[in-house]
Amino acid sequence: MRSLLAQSWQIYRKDMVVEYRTRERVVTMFVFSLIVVVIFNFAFNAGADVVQRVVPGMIWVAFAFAGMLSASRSFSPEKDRGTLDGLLLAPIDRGSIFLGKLLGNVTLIGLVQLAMLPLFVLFFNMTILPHLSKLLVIFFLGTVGFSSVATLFAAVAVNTRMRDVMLPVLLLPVASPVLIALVETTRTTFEGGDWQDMANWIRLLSVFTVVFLVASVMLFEYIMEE
Amino acid sequence: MAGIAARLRITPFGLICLLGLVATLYLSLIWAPRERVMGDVQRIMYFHVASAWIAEFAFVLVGVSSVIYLWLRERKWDIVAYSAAEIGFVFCCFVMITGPIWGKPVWGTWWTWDPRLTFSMILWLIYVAYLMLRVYGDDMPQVKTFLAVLGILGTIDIPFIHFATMWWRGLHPDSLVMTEEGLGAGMEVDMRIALGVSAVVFTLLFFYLMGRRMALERLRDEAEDLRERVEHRHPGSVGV
Amino acid sequence: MDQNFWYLFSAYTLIWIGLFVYLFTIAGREKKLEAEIAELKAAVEALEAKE
Repeated sequence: MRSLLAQSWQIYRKDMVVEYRTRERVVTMFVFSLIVVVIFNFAFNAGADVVQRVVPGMIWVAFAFAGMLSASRSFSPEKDRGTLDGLLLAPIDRGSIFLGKLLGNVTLIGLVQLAMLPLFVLFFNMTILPHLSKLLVIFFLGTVGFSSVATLFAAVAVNTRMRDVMLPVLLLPVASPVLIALVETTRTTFEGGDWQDMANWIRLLSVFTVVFLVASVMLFEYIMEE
Repeated sequence: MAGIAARLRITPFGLICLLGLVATLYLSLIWAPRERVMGDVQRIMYFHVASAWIAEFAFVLVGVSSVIYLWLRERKWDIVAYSAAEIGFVFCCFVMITGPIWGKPVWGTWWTWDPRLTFSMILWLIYVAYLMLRVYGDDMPQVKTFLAVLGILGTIDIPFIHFATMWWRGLHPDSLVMTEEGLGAGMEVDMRIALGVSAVVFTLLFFYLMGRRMALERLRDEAEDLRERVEHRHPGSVGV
Repeated sequence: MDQNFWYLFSAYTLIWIGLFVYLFTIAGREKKLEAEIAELKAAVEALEAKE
């Protein structure tokens, strides 16, 4: 267990060093999320009354796409350069590769979320500070849950011919419960709801995250074997 | 009739299933009482709900056989999963077709994002993803493993999708089959009998189709095998 | 007759049509594969006879 975490940390550090040098993933994700928000505004022609209802969905569409981008890019360069094979040959637990990649994706999505939230406040005149503790819990649970499925399916999709198309097709239906829960909890929070108003959803998010995290770690070994 | 049966190569068991389907038709269209609120159109329920049952049953079967496949690595379990997925998809299509046809006269609109329809929609999308991966990943050696992983995750997902769609929209507005009191609590006895018979017949039909579909997959393996043997002896003689 | 009759009728008809179309595709694929297998078997035998 200790070595698994240590190995995961090594993978994570390696990916973050690479990312720090180019910053291409996190910049693309951020710009992409921004574009989604702008396009959504055109799509809904959102006046102040509509915004309250639309923004939670908009937030999570933007982050879901950013998350897919992150997950996909966590494997595809390694596959193209052939370094994935090197990683698989390394004398480490396969699960650690998954955990390292997952941690990397969560970090990058988290960074994009941090950068986007002030913009949401700016664009939509929303108040976030009083809800910060709730949002933190919701965003953390949702991002980890979504990313574990995303990371697993990205590892699958990277092997297919139509990898860019396959990831959303595989991921979004399976991840739909998380997305519904995230939109609902975010909306409840912005409407000033209490923990009790969304107890069911929080429970669903937590159970989903734990179950899919464990299942993904277990199944990843099968995906990566030759 | 016999000509069609011969052309479709329907076995005696298949014929029994089709006769059962005709009997179900009688039970649901004529024998079962008319529903008071919705009228005759409610009779769609007997095929709609039975199809939904098969779609969900097949989904679980995909998950279970996927687990066994990853464990034992025997091709036959992959065949079970693939066949169940394809047939489950067909029945899920039936659900998606009959649902709106039922909804139009009752709700006044073809589609509402009601929990059950939304649930079926997500299920349908996962089936589509599974079959797409099967077709587009045909040339990959590990595709069977990937499919098994997708099958397992999809099945684990069922309760989550169920609760998410239910809490999202509140309960089914006029669900007779699934109410909070339990299965079939809102229905008359004769309706329940008709629905029960329908479910049994659909289950038999499912197993008949499974047999057909699995035999087809084994034929494909055999052809593949022979193709390799010819190719091996005589490179370039089979143009595939 | 109920004016909703057509909804009921089309729902049941579509299911029956769908079912038979599916059976047709299975039977069709089956026949194609069987023909191919017969062809390949003949080819294998011919090759074995030559050796």
